[in-house]
Amino acid sequence: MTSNIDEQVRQAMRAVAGGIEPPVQELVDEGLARGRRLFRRHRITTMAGGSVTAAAMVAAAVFLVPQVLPDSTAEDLGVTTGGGSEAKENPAKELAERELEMRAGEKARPALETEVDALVADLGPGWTAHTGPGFDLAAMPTDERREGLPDGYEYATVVRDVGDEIHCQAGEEKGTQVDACVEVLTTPDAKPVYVRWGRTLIDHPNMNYAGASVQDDLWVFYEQDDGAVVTVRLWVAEPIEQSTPDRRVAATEWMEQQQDALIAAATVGDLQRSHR
Amino acid sequence: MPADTEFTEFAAARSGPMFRTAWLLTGDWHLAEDLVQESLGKIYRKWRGLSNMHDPAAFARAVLVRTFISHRRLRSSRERPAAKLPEHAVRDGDAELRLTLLDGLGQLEPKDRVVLVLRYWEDRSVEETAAELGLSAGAVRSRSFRALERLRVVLADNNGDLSALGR
Repeated sequence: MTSNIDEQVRQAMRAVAGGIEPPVQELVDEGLARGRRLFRRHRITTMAGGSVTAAAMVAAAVFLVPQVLPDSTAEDLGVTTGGGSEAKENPAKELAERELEMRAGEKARPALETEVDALVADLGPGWTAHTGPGFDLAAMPTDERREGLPDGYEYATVVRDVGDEIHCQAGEEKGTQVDACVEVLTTPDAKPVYVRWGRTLIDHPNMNYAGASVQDDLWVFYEQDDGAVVTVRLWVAEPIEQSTPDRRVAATEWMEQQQDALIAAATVGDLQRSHR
Repeated sequence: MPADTEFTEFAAARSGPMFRTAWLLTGDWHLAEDLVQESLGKIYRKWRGLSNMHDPAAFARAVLVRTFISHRRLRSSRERPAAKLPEHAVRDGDAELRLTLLDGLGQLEPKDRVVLVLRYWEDRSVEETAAELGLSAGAVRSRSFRALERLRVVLADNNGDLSALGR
């Protein structure tokens, strides 16, 4: 008789799972169908984001052409303009320029919101877009997804950024400690995905102030084929008065449960550099 | 669309092993089907051909366990592993052992269950398991130890006996 529990488990798994006859054709057909749906959804989301961005750029260009092109060129394009040096001396023109900047920002906002929708889709079930103030267009967990995160956490937020750098060095600064990255296997071509954790140091002088916030961070970094680096970051935070070691342990365990969703959102591929 | 023919060949070759792993993870035939199909869909979405795939088996397994872990929490509140299979699907004939094992696994945390399945069903080393789950080797060892201890307690409480297979 086998006495070691680990060997018993090994043999039991062999005995019960080895005899299974999987419905291979059904799995392949439905897997292919789901893959096609995912592929189409991603392409539509990407195209929608691209077209909105392009529209914003065209709109901004129409407004800005008179400012940046020589008069003759602008006229060739059917655009009239005033004198080149006039802008700096004319308050009305400065106001107009500010308005143009604001309009460009308004045009770009739908593109940002589309980015958030894509992030929510890429994270998978249980996430929703938050486009209100203070969160910089982030994804937030639904109530169901928050299960396991202690009640009362004020922030549980995911953002995605596409830039140029991977930040993987361990360090400590201003009361925050970050670990070195850990490499994780997830992609078909074995391209590295890096995971890094960070946390507020509870005994740092910065924590002596009323209203100080205790925060835990989880970053995922992935370099796309085009060299762009996708960073997906989840952080949770609550006031120091409320924080306890047990609550932090529960919160980081909850974050650990979200790691795979973050990796999925980081490795989706073909993301454009962020509009921020 | 990605090259469907090559993907279909890949899926046909991998879906059997993926399903057995999924069944040990979920303890339920239909949930295992759903898990494999969802995982194949995700793989298709990123498909660039077999020639670009470093280790197809490892990648398929990694997608499967990650999909299981990320979906498990959402589903746990409304699903319970049934620990039942259509009788025609299993040839081992040892229903008691099957129920004992699945019931024990079903009472572990999802990530602990994954660790045991990777270690003892997939024969992955501690380091390989750590890489596939994004954990340190130490975390895998401690989870494995904790899961086996928990399994031992669960089996004792339920008068379950995996050693029956050795007789």
